[in-house]
Amino acid sequence: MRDLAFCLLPIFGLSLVGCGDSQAAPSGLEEPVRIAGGQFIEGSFPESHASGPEVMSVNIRNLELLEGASGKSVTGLAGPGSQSVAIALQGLGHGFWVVPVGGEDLDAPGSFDWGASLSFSTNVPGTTPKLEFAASDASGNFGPLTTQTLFVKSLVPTGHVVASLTWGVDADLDLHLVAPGGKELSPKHPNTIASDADGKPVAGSGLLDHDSLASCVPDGLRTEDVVWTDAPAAGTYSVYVDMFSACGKPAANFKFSLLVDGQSVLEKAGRLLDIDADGGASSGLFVTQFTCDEGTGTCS
Amino acid sequence: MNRHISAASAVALLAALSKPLLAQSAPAQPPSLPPPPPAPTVSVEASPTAAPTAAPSADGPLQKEVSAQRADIDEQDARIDALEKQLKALKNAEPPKAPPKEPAEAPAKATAADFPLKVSGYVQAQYEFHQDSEDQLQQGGVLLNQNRFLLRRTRLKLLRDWQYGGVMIELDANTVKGAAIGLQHAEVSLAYRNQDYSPLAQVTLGLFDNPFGREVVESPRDRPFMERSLASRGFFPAEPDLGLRISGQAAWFRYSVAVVNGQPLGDRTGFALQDPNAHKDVLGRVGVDVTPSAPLRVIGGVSVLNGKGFHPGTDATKNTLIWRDNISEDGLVTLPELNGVSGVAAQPSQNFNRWLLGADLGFEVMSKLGATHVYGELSVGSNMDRNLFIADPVTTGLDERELGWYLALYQELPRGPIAGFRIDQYNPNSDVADARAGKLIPLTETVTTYAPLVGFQVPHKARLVAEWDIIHDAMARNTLGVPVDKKNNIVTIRLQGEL
Repeated sequence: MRDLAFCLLPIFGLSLVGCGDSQAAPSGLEEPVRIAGGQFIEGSFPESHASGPEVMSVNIRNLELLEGASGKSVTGLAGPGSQSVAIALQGLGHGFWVVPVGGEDLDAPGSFDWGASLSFSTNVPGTTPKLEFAASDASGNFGPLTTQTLFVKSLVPTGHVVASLTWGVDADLDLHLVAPGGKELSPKHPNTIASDADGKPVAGSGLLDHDSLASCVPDGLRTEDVVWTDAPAAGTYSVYVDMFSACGKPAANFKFSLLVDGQSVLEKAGRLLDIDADGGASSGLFVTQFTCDEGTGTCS
Repeated sequence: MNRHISAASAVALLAALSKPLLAQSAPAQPPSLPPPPPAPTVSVEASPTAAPTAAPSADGPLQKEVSAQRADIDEQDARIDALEKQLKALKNAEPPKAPPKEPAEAPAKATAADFPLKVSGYVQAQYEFHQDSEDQLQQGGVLLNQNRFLLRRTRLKLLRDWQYGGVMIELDANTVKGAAIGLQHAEVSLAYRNQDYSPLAQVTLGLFDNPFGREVVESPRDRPFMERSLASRGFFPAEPDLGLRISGQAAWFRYSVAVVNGQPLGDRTGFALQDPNAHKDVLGRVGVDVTPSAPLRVIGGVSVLNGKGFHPGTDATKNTLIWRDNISEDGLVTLPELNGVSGVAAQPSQNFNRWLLGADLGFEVMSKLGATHVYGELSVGSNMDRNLFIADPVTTGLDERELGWYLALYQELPRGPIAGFRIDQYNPNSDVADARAGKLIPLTETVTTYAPLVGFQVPHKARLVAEWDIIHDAMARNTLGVPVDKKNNIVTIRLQGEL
């Protein structure tokens, strides 16, 4: 027993050392906004003090951004006595970010430049989130709140009908659609009806928005969409998913969704194994069919 | 028991003790008693004290017989006294325990039996809790979660010495970065040995521990602390490197000098166990290992390293076209956002100087409380970090000045408990500054680790240890943007089993 007490003595004695004024430094990957090189601090946004410095200006080149945008540059000026600027999306996330101010601004003596590179999550709720800013003085007093509204555009294309394929790993999957006329849409032939003589899309034709993970180059999307801005050509469409390359992954789970005016009317899930990779030699795995009516222009 | 039987036993004991002394055969056999000599003719009833009662009257022949018996007894007493004295003298003159191997006969008569193939090994399995773990992946796929079960080391060592050399191979398997198995040591040596078979001079070629300081050459099997101190891990990512070593010992003097590639196992500059430059690192240690008085042992030394690091050049590149969405920031390509990046010619690699000085001192004391170990080490270097805060003076234009030290104490209590504490500090760059509100302010990157440990061990069989690494650094920032300590303490519980 005495031996045990002797052994545990250092632990108790040093417990005070381990409970000092330390700061957690999480990656912030779960937050709706991230700042490269910034410090994430968990908790509510700092309260304003009358004596705190103010954020004099916020400069964002384009207030519109896509879901999941990265490297959005924000710069500004902080008032005299500023040490740092706190940044957050108002009402969202678990805390706020802090960036130290830079040097004194030459055009506005006494004020300090600051800047940050912002990245956004793909699931920021709403389309008009507000960025909020506050500057701190050397005593830790934050000044008045400054806000800036952003306009977020969805990654899912807007269209009357959207056929969407999403998958879970960095493998090169391709959405193939065989249109009623027999034409097959694929990354190499990105529309369901051949373009007209001028190369312009014809009415009722769907268009593939992009080829995600082409040549296994990660793009962070893992989604491909066929979009009809007007009523699709009537008839039955067959949906296939092809694994062009497994990109070293053993399998890829996917989900196909059909959206009409933003509402999901059909969902099918499936899985492709690495042995299914064929380099685009076939249409791939048959997933489902949907039919579009001529009169209503809807599909199901 | 009567004195006659004692006398017989003493004679037998004397004979048994004399045998090994005369024959000098090792190991000493426990004294075994030969069959007792024939029973003396005089029985205990005939003792002097019993005689008067046994003789009711004085009678001539009887008295004569009694006198003769008394004389006989006196003679036997004298013989016993003489034998006891002789036995005592022999015991006092008994030589110290023979060493495990006979020094006098060694060089000429050493056989394969004296140098058997030794197979040893151990497993260190543990659970780690890191305060800064997250269930996320870092950019590039590195796991941010470090709360896990882990096979830290699984070592298997084969060792075969012979009179003029030896070979040692050690393999390591672990799951630090996924399951991996690799070579830890591969040494072939030529040796000229002392009488106790320790090498007076030994030339070793192969993969061996860098002979620098105390921690680098200390086996993780023996070290109760989980890992080496932070500075040691910065300077030597892993202990072994490829090269040539000359080492040996004479009485209390120890020496070891080596020429190595300078890219040790675990090197994170990209050339582990290879050598991108022709320069070799020269390092070595001279020290002492003395026992000034019986329970105290002192081990100390000084070490030095001088070598050249490598700054890799770049390959030639082709012209490329890139898109920077830095004008409209709308996700759409516009002409002004397209930029051409001209190809660049290959750039040459460069070497840079690096050096390291070290001193170590340790004490071991045996007492009623068991074995007490107190030791420490100090290292001062330049451009030596090859693992944590990797030095590259070619890029920065400044030599990085590094300082590291530690003090450690651990107590092995007699019935198995073990307790210890280590404080280590590492400053990877003494010339760092932080920008605050446009002003450059000196910053310390010093990392201080307090590491208390408790555990229990069964010597040479198993050891269960729990260690708490309380790390103080300046890797986080507070709301003012000022560097402060990051929450990154570590708790490790390790079970080590030995073959």
